[in-house]
Amino acid sequence: MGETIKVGIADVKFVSPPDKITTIGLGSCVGVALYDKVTKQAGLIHIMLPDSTKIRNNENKLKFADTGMDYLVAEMKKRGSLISNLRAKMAGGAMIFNFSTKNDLGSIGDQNAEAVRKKLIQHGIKLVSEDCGKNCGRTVIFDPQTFDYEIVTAGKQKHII
Amino acid sequence: MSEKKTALSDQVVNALAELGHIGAGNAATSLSVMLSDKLEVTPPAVELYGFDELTQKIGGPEATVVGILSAFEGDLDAMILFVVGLEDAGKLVRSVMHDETADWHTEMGISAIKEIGNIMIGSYVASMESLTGKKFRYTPPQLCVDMAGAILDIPCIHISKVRDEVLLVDSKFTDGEKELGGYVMVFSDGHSYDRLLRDLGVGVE
Repeated sequence: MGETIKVGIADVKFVSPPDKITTIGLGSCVGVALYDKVTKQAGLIHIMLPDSTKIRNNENKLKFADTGMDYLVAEMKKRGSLISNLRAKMAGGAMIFNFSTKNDLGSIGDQNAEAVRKKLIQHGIKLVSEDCGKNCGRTVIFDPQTFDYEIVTAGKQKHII
Repeated sequence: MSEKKTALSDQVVNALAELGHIGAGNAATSLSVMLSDKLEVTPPAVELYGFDELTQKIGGPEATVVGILSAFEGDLDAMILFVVGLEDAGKLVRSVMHDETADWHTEMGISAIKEIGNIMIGSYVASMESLTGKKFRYTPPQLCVDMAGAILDIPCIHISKVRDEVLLVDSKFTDGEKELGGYVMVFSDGHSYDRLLRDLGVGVE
C-alpha cells in the first residue's frame, strides 16, 4: 500500500506509484495534476491566482498559474520526463461566494482555470480532462498508476475524471 | 516552499485584540437580546496564521463549515468572515430558536445562522467605527456551507495578493454552560491594515 502525499496551499509535490497525491478543499483555487504517461511520475500543484505579473507579493512562484505551471513543467523535465509524454488533468476554480462588486474576485476561479489552460497550450501539453467552475469545493486525489483524478465534493460525492 | 512569517509587535497585537474584544463584546450583547439569555465572551486570541495552518485551526480543510463573508467597500480594502463548524452552528441555532430539536440545515435554521453572522459582522464593524471614528461600508453578508478550504479560498486569495498570512481573531461565547464556538477572521491587504492601525494610534514599523 502506498502513501497519499498532501499538497498544501500554493504548494507542489511529486509522486510515483504506488503513492498517490492529494490536495484538500479547493474552492476558487485550482489543482493541476501533471503526469508522465510513460514513467508514471506525477506532480500536483495548488494554484491560488492567475497572473504573477499583476501582484506585488509574488515571491512564491507556486501561488500563480503562470510561474507555477512553468515550475511544474521544468521540474518534471528535470526528473527525466519528455514534454511529449506529459499530460494534465485539472479541477477547482469554483465560485464559492459571489462578489460581483468586489473587483475581479468573483471570477477568480474562472481566471485561474483559464490561465492554466493557456499555459498548457504554451508548453504543448494536452489537458486530458477537467472539472472546473460551479459553486462547490473539491478535494482531489491523483493516482499516478491509473492516471485517475478523483474529485470529492462536500457531502462525500465522488467521481473520477 | 515555506511561508514567511511577519512578526507583529506587542503593541499591534494589543490594538487588534482590543478591537476584537470590543467587536465580540458588542456581538455578545446583540446575541443576548436574540437569545434572551446572558452571553459572555472570552478575551479573543489574536494570531497570525499561514494559509494551511488556518484551515487546520478551523477543523481541517475538508471539514464542512458555515461561512458568512462580507467585503468592505471604499476606503478599507478588507474582508471579514464569520465561520462556525456544523456542530456549533447547530448549538447556536438551538439556542437562538429555543428549540432543542432545531436543526441548522432547514430554512429557519439557515436564516437564524445567517442572522447571527450578520450580527457578528455588524458588531465587529461597529466597533471598528467607534475606535477609528470612520465609517465603513460593506457588502451584504453571503452565506456558504462547504469545505473549510473552499470557504477560505476567496478571502485567502484576496489577502495573498499582499501577504501570505491571515489575522485570526478567535472569539468564543458561553451562555454559562455551553460554549458556542465561532471565529471572526479579518483579512486585509497590508496597506489598509497599516492605515487602520495608524487610525487606532499604533505605530507600525
